[in-house]
Amino acid sequence: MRSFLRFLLVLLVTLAALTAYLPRRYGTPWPEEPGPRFDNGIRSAHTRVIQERGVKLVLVGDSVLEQGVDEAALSEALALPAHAIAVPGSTSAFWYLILKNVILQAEPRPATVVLLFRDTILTLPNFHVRGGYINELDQFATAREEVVQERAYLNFMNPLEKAALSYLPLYRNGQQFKERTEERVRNLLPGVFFSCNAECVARADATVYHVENLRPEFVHEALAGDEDFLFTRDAMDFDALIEESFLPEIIRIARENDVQLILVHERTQIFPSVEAEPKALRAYKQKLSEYLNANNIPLIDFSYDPRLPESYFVDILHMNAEGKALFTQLLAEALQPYLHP
Amino acid sequence: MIFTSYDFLIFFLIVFCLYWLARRRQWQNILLLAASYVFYGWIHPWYAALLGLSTLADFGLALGISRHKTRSRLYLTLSLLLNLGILAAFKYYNFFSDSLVAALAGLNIHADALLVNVLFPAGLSFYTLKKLAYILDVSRGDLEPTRDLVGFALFVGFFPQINAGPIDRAQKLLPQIQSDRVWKAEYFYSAWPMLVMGFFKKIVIADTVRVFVDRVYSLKEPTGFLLLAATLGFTLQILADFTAYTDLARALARLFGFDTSENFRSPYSALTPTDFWNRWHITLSNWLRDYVFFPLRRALLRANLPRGLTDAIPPLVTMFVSGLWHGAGWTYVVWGLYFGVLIVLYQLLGMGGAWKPANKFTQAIAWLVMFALIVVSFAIFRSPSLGWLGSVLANGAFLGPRDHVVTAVVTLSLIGFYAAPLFIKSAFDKYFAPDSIWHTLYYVGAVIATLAYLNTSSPDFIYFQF
Repeated sequence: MRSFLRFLLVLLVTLAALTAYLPRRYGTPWPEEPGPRFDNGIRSAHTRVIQERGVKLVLVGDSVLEQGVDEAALSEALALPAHAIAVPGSTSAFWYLILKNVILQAEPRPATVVLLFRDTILTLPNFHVRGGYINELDQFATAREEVVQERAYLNFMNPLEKAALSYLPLYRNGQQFKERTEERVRNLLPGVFFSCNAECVARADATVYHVENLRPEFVHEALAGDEDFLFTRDAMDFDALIEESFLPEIIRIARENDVQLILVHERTQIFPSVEAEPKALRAYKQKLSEYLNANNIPLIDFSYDPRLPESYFVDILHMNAEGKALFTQLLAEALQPYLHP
Repeated sequence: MIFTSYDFLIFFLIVFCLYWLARRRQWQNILLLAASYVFYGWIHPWYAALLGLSTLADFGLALGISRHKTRSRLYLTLSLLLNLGILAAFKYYNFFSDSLVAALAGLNIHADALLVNVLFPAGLSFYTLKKLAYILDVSRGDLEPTRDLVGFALFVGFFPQINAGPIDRAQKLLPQIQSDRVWKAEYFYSAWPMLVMGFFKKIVIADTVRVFVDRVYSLKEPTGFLLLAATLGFTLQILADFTAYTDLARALARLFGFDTSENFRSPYSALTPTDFWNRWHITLSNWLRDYVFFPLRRALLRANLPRGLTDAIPPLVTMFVSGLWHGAGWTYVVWGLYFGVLIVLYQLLGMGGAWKPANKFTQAIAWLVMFALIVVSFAIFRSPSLGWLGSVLANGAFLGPRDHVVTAVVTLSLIGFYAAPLFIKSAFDKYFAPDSIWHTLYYVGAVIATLAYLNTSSPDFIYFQF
């Protein structure tokens, strides 16, 4: 008993000391709001491009967009300046922020925004928003993003986590603490033995773990494992998710700013055919389609387009060069009626 | 449900309070049984249904073995078929269905329907061994079958143990289940250090090191140096992960008044392969020894086979079974056989189970060799395939370009950093009393680090997949 009480006492004193010290050290308030801390900086390069080139159509999406659409070829096919904002790993929280803080900040604003998505991603506000994604998300967020805080984070936190984030700076700053500690450990020996500084270590890391050096089966498994999140029973419950997702907000701000929004369902190889698709996903897609229809949002569906067979893909999501060329052409053809009615 | 989740915390607090409020043993057992099924069926309720049905079957078959001596062999065979059949069906279906579909495709028969992936119920390998030990002991007359269905079901499904052991025997757990339990403060005092260490090893060490290890094993062709660094990392990760789970399982059981088995005793300080298996996953090793090794050896001796065969076959078969139990894949089979061959070789060298080093120098060399052999075994275990490992070892450079050397050094540095707390803990355990101020400071440091590293989502324990 004595040793436990001693442990408890030392622990409480240490925690109290850290709770007093860490907010001063990092210049943060105490207690804090439980969501992530964003700064005011916005990656504004895209806004400048939209303004300078007088972009009329902006495509938004993740790496599937990056590897699936040739921006120059699309501009040429549509005979208007188009620009793609493709953020690898991005999801609906990113797209909402990109629309609000990047695209709509351009003057003049583009007339059309095309959002490329797949399956249930539009109604899963907590997909890819934690861990390393927070830093990425911060690139598009202002210091106060109440909708993002609530829909991507607070709605998915348990009371204990909220309390820990508010009152326990040790927990809140854990990621920083871990990253700084590991950075020191990481850079110590390469600096001593190879005169290799932090930048050199990061470069070596990027070279060794470049995606081309990864086993294809690993990439396939990792992607499929990540995508599993989109096909859980909860994820395919459209009615339960829609109001708490970013989709209504995306539609609202596009409409309020007089921007035409077009949604494009990407072609993927997650399910080989429509027959292999889970029934719940089919029902979800039906409801999504009805919802978009009711909101006058066009939906272009390439889900199981036979013109884009498996041979055009390098993995379950991404296309090869031939696939990219063909999809760009197909996308241009599909967009034409909406742009030049 | 996993021990490091918020759901589990709430679940445990409710069960813990109700359990000690219940006071009467019968109510406590019913509550723990219900809690165990809720815990086990939390994600997939059919897991709990499978557990319940197979438990009922074995309960009845064990009683049948004891009551109808003439039919005991039939009942035993039924139980073996049932348990091993379910285990094989779930564990090896995916492995064999891929091969079968490929073979049928060669004959122009398309059987893609067979490719439906069967989800393996976590913990099935563990509770199957518990039930098999019970049935085999009853059939041998070593154990009187219980007529207490709730007690038996609780022994099989006891939630702190169900996902990854320890694989306690009925002789150890059933008498505790059938005894009255009254709350004692000493339960908590013996449990809290295990809880602290369990969370620390899982959250701070295993989950962090896993990231460095997985990155190297995701490469097409890492250099030998990088592979060595990552395999040392995996050697640390698997120990931290599995001992963390065992610490948590034992601590939780203790909080309900149960004393469960130790599963690890400094396994990496082993001097021989036999010594290693006496220290690593001890409850599995004991199971394999009692129900595979000894019966096989006795059978071979009865068959009057040459000494060489009676010495070599049992360890080879036992370790082959161990490999198969760990997973469906050639890497696991070869990993098991590798240890079987090592045990036979060490026996031939006169370094069997009872071997003791003559002096410190011999001890140091024996340890170094054994540790290197353990690391090699984990390279086989962790490899995505034998072909990949063979190709890396045969074709890859050891050091490679400068970037690869730097990356390997970085990986080694990080692994050394995360291994240090375990070395320090070992030293403290060796040189200071358990209630010393040094231990207090260590546990405080462990809690602080755990809070800093805590994440709401934590990957499953490695051993859940076995």
